[in-house]
Amino acid sequence: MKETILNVENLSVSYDNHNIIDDISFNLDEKGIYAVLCPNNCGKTTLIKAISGIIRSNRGKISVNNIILSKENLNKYILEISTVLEDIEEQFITENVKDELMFPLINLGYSKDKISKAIKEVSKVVKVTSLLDKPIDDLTYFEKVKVILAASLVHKPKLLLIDDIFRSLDEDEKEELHKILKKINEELEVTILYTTSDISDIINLDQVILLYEGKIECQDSYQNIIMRDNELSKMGFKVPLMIDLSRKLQFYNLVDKIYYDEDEVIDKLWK
Amino acid sequence: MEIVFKIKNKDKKINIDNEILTLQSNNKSILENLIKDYDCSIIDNKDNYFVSKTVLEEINSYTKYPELSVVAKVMEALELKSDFFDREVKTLSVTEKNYLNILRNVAKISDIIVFKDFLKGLDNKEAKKIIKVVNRLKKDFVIIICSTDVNVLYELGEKSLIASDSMIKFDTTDEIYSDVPTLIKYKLEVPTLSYITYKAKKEKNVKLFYSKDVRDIIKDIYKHV
Repeated sequence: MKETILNVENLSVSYDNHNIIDDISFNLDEKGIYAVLCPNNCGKTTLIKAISGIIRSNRGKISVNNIILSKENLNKYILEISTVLEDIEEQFITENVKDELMFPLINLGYSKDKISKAIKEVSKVVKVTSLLDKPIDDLTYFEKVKVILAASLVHKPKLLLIDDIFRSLDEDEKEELHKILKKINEELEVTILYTTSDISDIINLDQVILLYEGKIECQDSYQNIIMRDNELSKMGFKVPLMIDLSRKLQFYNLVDKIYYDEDEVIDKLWK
Repeated sequence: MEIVFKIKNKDKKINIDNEILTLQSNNKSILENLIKDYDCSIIDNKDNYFVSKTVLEEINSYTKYPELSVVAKVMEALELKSDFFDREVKTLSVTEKNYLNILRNVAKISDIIVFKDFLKGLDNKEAKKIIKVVNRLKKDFVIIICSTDVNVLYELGEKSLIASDSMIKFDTTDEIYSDVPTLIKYKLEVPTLSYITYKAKKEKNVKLFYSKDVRDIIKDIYKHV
């Protein structure tokens, strides 16, 4: 049986008397990949920052790997998680890639051998080995994303929180990033929770949390979430074209499932 | 406002007057060559580095004499109130930082405003607001939408430039996006709805009409299935 890695109970976060996160509760099992699907400006970043301990919640309890987020436990708690925020450029501390990866480990008092081994392992999984000797300023945006991901993983956290880093990437980069996340999950055994406002980023996930106006609408598989296309549109989501087309064709009983391939849907409609 | 672009490799000029020009390219130098003779503001959602404490200070740091009438127009389209000026930049959400990026760029006096991959990562509600901004600005500026997403370009463009192999291959209207044989011939990406219409017509002998709206295609499919 899988253990619970993240437990959120009755969490509320507010700014200026306005509830951004409003009494939400959910659990995530260890070693999975999960997404929070949420429209823009509806609490994604606040949720990630609250779980990572960057901002304080007004109410509720958060625990990661059975360690409760509290003042007393903070040092133990933050070793269990890593957070990658959307403002990638603002997260660099050093001037070159290797230093960036070494920085958290030096702070944790790792030996030289241990540092070198950890960097080698993570660099291979996140595909930054060829970037290690480069200055940060020479990297492309996507390379910077990968370096920040690698730096967040070198101390082997149990849970990786990622706040909507997909939105500035092109389609090829997104595809590569999803492959890297899968490798991180499988090879480093890290549970991943990422936020997004793009429905195409949740495809193939078993568990997606639909967050709207600070409340959880549902926690379900992507297949079941996309069947709620009318609700998703009303919430402001852009339903990907092929899903939108398939759902509308389903409404007229012209097809019986979601088609992601144009040729397949044509063959189905006109055999 | 009218602007004449010279396209090097095509030995041709394009006049743009209150229209949206789309550029399908991810090649930096193509855009740079196109706009090099003009004052230009580039709005890129990756560019979210701010130097000032408040929103107003950030806008003023971009230009000494901000075009307040344009800023007001954009704020209205983005549904922002005047108290947004007093907000501290560090308290802004990512979406609000994108708004500030737009405001500081439109506050400058420019001939051209370029929106780079501007709908990426936005939900429908936010995308509609930004499209409203573009439509309001096109009366005062030449607007270039630079993207690699053919579905967005097909939906929004009026005049279209398509680049491939570091060269502009087509300067035309948005009709190019429904000319599927030509797009295929030049190995260019085809918008999803155009592709479905083309394949149904060609391989299944179905009389579908090219459309930018999925609802129109559905009606048409329903008639012909």
